[in-house]
Amino acid sequence: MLIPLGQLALYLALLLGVMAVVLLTVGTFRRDSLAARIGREALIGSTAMVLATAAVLVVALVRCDFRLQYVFQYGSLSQPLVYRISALWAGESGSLLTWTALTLLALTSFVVSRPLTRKVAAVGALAALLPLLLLVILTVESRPFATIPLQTPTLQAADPAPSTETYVYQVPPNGRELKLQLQTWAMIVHPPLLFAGYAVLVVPFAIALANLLGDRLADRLDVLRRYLLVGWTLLTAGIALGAYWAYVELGWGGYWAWDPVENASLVPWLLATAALHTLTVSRRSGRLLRTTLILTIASLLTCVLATYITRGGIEESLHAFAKGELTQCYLYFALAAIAAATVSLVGAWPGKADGDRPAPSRRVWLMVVVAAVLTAFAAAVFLGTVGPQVLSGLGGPRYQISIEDWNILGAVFGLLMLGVMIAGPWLTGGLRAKGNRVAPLVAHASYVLLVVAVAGSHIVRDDLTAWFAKGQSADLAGHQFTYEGVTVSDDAQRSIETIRAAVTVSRNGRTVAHLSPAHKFNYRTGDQRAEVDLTVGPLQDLYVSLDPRMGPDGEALLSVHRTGLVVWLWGATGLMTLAGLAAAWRRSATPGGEQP
Amino acid sequence: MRRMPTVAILLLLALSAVADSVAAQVADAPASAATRARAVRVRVVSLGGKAAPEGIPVELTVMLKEMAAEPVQATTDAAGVAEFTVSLPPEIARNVPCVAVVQHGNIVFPSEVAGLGASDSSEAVELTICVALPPGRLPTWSHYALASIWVLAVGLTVFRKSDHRLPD
Repeated sequence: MLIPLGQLALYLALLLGVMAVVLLTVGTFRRDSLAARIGREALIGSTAMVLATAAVLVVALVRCDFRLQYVFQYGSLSQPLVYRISALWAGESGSLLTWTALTLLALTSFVVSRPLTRKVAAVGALAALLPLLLLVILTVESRPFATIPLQTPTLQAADPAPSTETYVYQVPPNGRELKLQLQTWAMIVHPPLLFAGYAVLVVPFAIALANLLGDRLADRLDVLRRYLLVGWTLLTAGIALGAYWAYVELGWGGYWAWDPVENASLVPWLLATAALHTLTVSRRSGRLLRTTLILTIASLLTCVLATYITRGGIEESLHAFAKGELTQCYLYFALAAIAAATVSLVGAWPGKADGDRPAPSRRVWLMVVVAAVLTAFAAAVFLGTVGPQVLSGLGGPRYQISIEDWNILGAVFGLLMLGVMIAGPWLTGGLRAKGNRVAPLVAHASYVLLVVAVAGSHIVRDDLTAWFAKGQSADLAGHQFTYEGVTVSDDAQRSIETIRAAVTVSRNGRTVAHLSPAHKFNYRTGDQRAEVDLTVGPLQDLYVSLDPRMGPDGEALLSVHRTGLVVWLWGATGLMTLAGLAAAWRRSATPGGEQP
Repeated sequence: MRRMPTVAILLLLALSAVADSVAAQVADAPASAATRARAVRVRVVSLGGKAAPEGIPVELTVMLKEMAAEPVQATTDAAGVAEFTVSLPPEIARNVPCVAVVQHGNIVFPSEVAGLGASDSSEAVELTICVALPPGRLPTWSHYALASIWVLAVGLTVFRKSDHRLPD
């Protein structure tokens, strides 16, 4: 009974979503209060139905209902409850469902928390387009409630008197389980945080697009700021947690590999950061309004493209252009929004907002420089990620940007931003802005800390990978790493075998730490995962990971790393997140604020 | 007990190329009076891995030409397990596929296909059958009914005479 209920809820969510978009649009154009009101109720109803759909899928995951293909793929009887629940965002349809639910929640919070006006209806209609697109994909293509089909016997001719009503139904007794690497606390929190960030950015996107289309550029900038800040904060925390997960799980001693998935989340963050900077000028003096709005729109569009890249892989997606029609909807949405923004931008240029004004102040120029640097960085990362695959897809040469080149790019832009940040206030006559400056100061200070930590982790870096016989030691950066042997344990209930090495770290004959890196094998699914062990210090981390290969006499292949200032990185991103939350919490008293 | 569905078994048989090759091998092998006993344990579970109640009839089919026509039957014990002992000709050096099924109404629930006979181990071959009825579906008319209500609601709202002005 549960599965049909989930299907019904998803179907109703789609119907109500279409209704919301249609009626909010009618309400906006005809100034029809009743249509807009019903549209708003439909939006709330659609949100409720999507939440119900997600709840049904979670119940199916918890109950291990392997009749559902999604549950079979990501569930398991031996999986702890928390990972059964987090399997909701492990696969494509579950992730899309999570993103849709969070987007609709963010949008509903915007629509119900203020009086229904023409502007609110327009923003609601525009913003609801994205969750509506996701609902279409979920209903028609992705289908979270796809079940294992009943098979009709095909060899009836082989049986002299077959029963025509006999069906074969093979339900797997157990599921394939989440990958072991995903069974960590960081992976419970990291994806929903990123999706929540993407979701919240829908509201500023819609406000920006409505402002551009309606040629009322300065409307609701205070609301735009608040939602942009919340989205930026969630993205910051999500990206930082993803880096932390890579650091403690992947076993290579680093935290950022310029992987397409990582880059895809960095681009919207950079654009949202640029938009937040230009917004400070826009709200005070009405300058850089179009720049702010375009950056806000671009930050959401790159989120959509990020999902397009990360869910299914860009190369697969490029190949899917010819056959996966609905997957292209992502691109159609992005292209349509870019076209709408461009048309409205061209139409509004030169806009009424600028008029005959005095020459821009140095502060405005500073923000132009900040936005330019951040946007150039975002563009470079985006092109560097997508470009090679697109070129190769079009039959061009196949090339790949090396991690060293990426690091140089990151260092150039990172230092450029630091330079602008330090020189900016000095050139513009210091920080003379009104209001509470604690949150921005903390955010900028944490950026300095972040740059120091990243630089430290690249400069103070020693690596050693070697075979160790039992009792053998190796020196790395003044520390002796002694391999003491391995133990093997078997968790029969979870079908997991763990090989754990014992490593003693000493310095000048004094024991500093006992580390026990491990490698886990799931012999039921064939999956495996490295479990690194590390000592965290204020200046350096000592980090050991164990390779699954073992020597004939119990030798172990250990990777030993010393990395500087990594803990500062987590501190910096934590501070940045807190600063974002504090800034979003504070109601701004500056002009350009919320209008009824 | 109702007649077990040989159609389903044949379907699975046809899916397994191994079965054909082994059958061919057996056909060529010299006959022998001695046989080897192999234990097969079939665990019957419902959704969530809960053991099935006692007394569920289970049928095991060993995919040898000589044996496929005569599946063996057993019923589940209190732990939801049905035990079988299969006698294989000693000449069989490779795995012989076997499959267990449970029938409920017109639906056959098969286990995975396992290999029998390759090793001399006395350990029982383990098979699991998950007995869960297919989930229901929303009737097609309900989709049309909901879509019609939707069209009616949206149509009435859009095409009525508007007399409430939305503020800017």
